[in-house]
Amino acid sequence: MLSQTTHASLLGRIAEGDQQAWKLFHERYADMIRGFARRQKLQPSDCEDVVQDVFLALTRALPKFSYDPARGKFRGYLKTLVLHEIFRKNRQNRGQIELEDLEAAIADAEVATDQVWEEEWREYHVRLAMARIEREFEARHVQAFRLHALTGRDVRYTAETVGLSTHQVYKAKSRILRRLSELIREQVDEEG
Amino acid sequence: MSSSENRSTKKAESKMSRAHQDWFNNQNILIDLARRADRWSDKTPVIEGYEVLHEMGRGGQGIVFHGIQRSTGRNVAIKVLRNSPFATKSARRRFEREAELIAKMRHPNIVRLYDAGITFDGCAYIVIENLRGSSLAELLRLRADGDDGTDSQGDMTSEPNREIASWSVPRVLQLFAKICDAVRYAHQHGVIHRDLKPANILVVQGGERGPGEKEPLRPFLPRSPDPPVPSSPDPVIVDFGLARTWTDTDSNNEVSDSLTETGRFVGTLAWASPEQACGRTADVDTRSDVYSLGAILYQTLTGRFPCDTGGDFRTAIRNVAEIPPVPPSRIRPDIDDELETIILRCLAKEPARRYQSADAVGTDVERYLAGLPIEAKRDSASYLIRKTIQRHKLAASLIALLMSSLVVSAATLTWLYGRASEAEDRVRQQLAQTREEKARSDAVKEFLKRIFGSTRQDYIHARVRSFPDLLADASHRAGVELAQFPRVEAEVRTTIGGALFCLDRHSAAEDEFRKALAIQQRLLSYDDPALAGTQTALAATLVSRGALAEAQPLLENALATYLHRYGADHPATGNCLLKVGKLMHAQRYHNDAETYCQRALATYQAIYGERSVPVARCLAALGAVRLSRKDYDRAEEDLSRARRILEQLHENEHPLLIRVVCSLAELRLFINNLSEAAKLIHEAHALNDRVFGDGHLQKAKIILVEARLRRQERRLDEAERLYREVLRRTRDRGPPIPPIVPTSFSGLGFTLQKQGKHSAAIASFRKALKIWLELRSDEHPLVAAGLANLAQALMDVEQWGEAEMLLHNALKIRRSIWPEDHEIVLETRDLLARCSDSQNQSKAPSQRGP
Repeated sequence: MLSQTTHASLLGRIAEGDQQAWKLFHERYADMIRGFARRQKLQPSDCEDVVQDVFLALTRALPKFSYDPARGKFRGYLKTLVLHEIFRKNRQNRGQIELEDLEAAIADAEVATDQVWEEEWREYHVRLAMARIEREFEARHVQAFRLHALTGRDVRYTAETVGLSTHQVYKAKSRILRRLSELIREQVDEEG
Repeated sequence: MSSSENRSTKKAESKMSRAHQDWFNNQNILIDLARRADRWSDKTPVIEGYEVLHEMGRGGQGIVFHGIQRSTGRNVAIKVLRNSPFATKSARRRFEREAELIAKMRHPNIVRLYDAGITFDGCAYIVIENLRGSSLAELLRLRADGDDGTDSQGDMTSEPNREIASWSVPRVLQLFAKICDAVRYAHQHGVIHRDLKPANILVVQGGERGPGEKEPLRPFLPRSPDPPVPSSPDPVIVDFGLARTWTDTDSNNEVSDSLTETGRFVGTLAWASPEQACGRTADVDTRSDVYSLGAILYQTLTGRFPCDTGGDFRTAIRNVAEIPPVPPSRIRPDIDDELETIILRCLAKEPARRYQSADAVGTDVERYLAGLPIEAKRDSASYLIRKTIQRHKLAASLIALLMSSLVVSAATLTWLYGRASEAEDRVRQQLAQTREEKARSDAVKEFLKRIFGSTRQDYIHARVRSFPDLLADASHRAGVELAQFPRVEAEVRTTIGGALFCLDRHSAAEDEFRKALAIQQRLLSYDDPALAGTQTALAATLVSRGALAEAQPLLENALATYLHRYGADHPATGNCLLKVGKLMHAQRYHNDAETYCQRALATYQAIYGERSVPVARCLAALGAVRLSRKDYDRAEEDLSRARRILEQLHENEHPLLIRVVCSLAELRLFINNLSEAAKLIHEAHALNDRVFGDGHLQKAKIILVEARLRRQERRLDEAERLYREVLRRTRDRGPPIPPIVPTSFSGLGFTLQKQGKHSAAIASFRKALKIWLELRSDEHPLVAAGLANLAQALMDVEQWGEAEMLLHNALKIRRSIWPEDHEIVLETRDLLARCSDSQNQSKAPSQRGP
């Protein structure tokens, strides 16, 4: 489900008020927003609030959001939105601060959080692509990839566990990695 | 978008520009990200040794998967505790507890636990047998539906269900008696269920499961189309979580059973005893399970709950606590007086007025079924057997040890800083290296804090887990939580291994060291100090179990690394030198052993000064070496010095002190000062019991010295008893078998020999020899000693031929180790000559005879 729809068409469908598209969109981005919020040192319950608030804001904004790759990245837009909600949350927790201060704080934070945001964003792409991989590849090969490449089990152990030859394990790893690169390139290109 | 947003977006873009654009072409980045992404997903778990097939059900905390165990092909159910924010610590603990409890039990009516562990994603799981059947709750619902006029004999009703569906009183009681027996068994194993209810009882076709005790590993076999013997349905208790883990999978149904306003007690209150319902947890004991049994029987026979728990929560609790149940015979007329007595007796509000054990309930039910009068007597003895897990006295001190090892590494770092500033040319390089090490050491510290911080309380109270379990858990978690930091994982494993080694879990320790080494060999250069550290630790473990050949190259590499990287006056170098000394000692190269121990001593003295534990450690090792080479005066000096240092440092409970005292006792034995030896042995026993307790290998070692003392005192019967005691204490150890075992066999052999029990002595020496041959290379001096000892015993009974052959071999080995004029070689030659002569003499008359 996660990756069957392209990013652009998803935004288009949301703009048209498609509920299913909203669900997909939520599925795609909730983890990323939550992860980012967590890394901004928010309490877990506050993270959930931020996720909800961001989606509420998107509900209002997206139907009007005309998607134009040339105009700028959705990624940047979303980040600003998320940061905004995080600061609102912090303000709620800490007491009032002035609106100008908030804008200034966000501008500062955008630079400071570039790296974290970028990491979460990448992770999100990998997750999306992995979901595709799971459908495209044979289960054993994906399992071998997880065991060998992700959890660092040695090749022989992996081969025995999933029932492949060591050669096949190597091959699965390189093929999946190659495919991951391709898929992410597509996703990133398409995202604009 | 506003202009400020545009501005910042551009800023971000330019920053991310070239270097980052193609990140998805970098395999390392991809793998790292995929690893992190995986933690969030909720897919089929990867579990070592199992093929996880599909999901069977899920609830708030757990998901149950159908799986196949690869090694056996067995069908299993794998219950995985979901790793969500909701998988709280207490839920995890409950889960672990469930695993621990079921694992203890083998009963045909209790679900079997095959395995437990942590998935590759870090979720706890247990593997239990995959049972086919319906829960009693489902069957009761089916019947209720049937009563409502629906046809309950549809295709979905399987064999056992149909049998139960008749619900005759004897049928129900037969089933119930089995449940009682299972609960009795659990009680006898110190387990109170606390949550017995129909949803926790699975009804399977009788005979589908092998008997628990005899055939615990029997794979599940699909039912044959025509069962040869029609057998009664078997109840199996499936849930030993305190509440709501397993049965969550059908919690929807329970909700409809007994909906209350408070979520927490849903589905449980109907079977809960008054003391449980009122939250008097201190009063909960086996008799609470008796109440639940009564409630189950009441419900199964009548289709109703004994108390009305359908209303609001407060009323429900009051009903359970105060309102006596409607006599079941009023609902079901074929329940007679006696059966009613049994049921109501279980359901008494006061525990003291109930049956006092599940056993008593079961007995009365069986008597009733057999037409005998039920027993009215009340059990005075409670069946509650609380298994108090013996508290490791070592626990607290080992945590302290782990923590202090981190402090030591901090000291090392300070030292490195200092050194860096001295050596101008290496300042930069070493500072960088030091910082990196500090970062890693911080990561290790954090991890350990997490492990011990979360469980320390439990563990101090020693209610649930022992320290080795805690370490095993830490090991599991290191594999999962530190997967991204393989270097840290390796260091943590080395630390855990060290702790396990202290706890006498040598093979587990070895395992950790090997895992760490495998990681480090992959990632680090051959002369990395971290790698050398693990090599040293692994080598020490290997030396202790006698795998000397494998230990040697490890230590060689480690020592070269340390000398090259740190120079001679560094604690790591000192430690490694000491380990080399011990290896040489084990190899019986006493001269070299002495040299290395002295070098280690000098190193430590330079760093820490005379009064320090490492210095005492070196002195103890040096003393042991000198003891072996019969340099008693200097051995005495070393050992006494070691002892003095430890005492001055107030290390009165240091494990090393026990070893030192023990060595001193041995020394006295060698110089035949038996009264002094006896005093020291007594002291060693007292120390050991304070520090290690009775079960530790060290205890056996002290008993061995004591046995030697008795032998020297000519108290042979006592010596024999003690040797056998050592063997009894060590018989389950290994593999590999610890060297103390063959040593004891030899000692026992000498004792028996002196007692004139020749054939027993020969048998004992044979065992010793056999084990030495397993443990050591064919050319090892201990093998030679084993050969010679056996040969002498054989000579006692005039079996010259075999003795001669053995002595030949012994001589060959000894000549390859020692020079021709060494006393041991001469002694062996002498023996061999005597043997040959005697053989000739004994042959001569028989040849002359006819």
